[in-house]
Amino acid sequence: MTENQNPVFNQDDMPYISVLPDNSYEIYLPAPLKQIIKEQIELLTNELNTEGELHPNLVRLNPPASFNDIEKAIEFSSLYNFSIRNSHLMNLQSLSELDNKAYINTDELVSIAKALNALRLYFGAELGIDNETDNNLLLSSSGTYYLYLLFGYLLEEIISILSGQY
Amino acid sequence: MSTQIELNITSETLEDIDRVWFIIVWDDPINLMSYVTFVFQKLFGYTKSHAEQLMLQVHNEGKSVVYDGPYDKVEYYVKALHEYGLWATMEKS
Repeated sequence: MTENQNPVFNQDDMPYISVLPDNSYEIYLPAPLKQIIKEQIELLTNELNTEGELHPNLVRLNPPASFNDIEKAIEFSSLYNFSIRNSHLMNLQSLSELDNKAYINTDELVSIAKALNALRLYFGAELGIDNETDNNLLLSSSGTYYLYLLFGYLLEEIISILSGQY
Repeated sequence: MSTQIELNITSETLEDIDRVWFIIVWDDPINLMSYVTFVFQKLFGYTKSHAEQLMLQVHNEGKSVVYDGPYDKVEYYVKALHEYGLWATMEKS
């Protein structure tokens, strides 16, 4: 596990999430950020919808359910892989369909958190992050790494808000 | 009037019912520590300090047993953990 490094935003147009008096949430994503998120969701959605062998970047979104009981792992996979994949797709759709400024409830915010985590798992796999130190080594590299940090920043903001509820 | 019901219970089924199952969550450098703590709180209803303790065990030792119970509950929680994007497996005691 890791702690996120924060990306740089235009100070005049920062994304934010706030709790409203009725315990719902206001979430604001600047239009350029929203566009970036939408494009990356489309990419991941297409990968999830591709039939056949699982794309290597998707392995973390569909891990084996058991290491020492192959029979149970196969049974679990045949029973639930489809619904787990659909759950990822629905979460991504919730995030994609958000307006720039949206008013949402706790379940919707949790769904958005799951979608952001799914995007991080996908891009983290693409970046080849497989140990804790890789996060620092990649600090100044590609646009993909920037996206990875960006999704981490948004997820961290959401979790800090949601953690106040528990 | 009495009705005879034939139950198809094998010794293997009984063995499965008797046994406790564990859920193990494995470390993944991508998942945020705060997110993993939140998932443990939300899904299992653990306190923040217990959830953090389990998260740190995953982080420092590579894995942690986060729940034990009957197979049906373990199966439900493993599915839910996968939907959260956590790397969880189940094991028999």
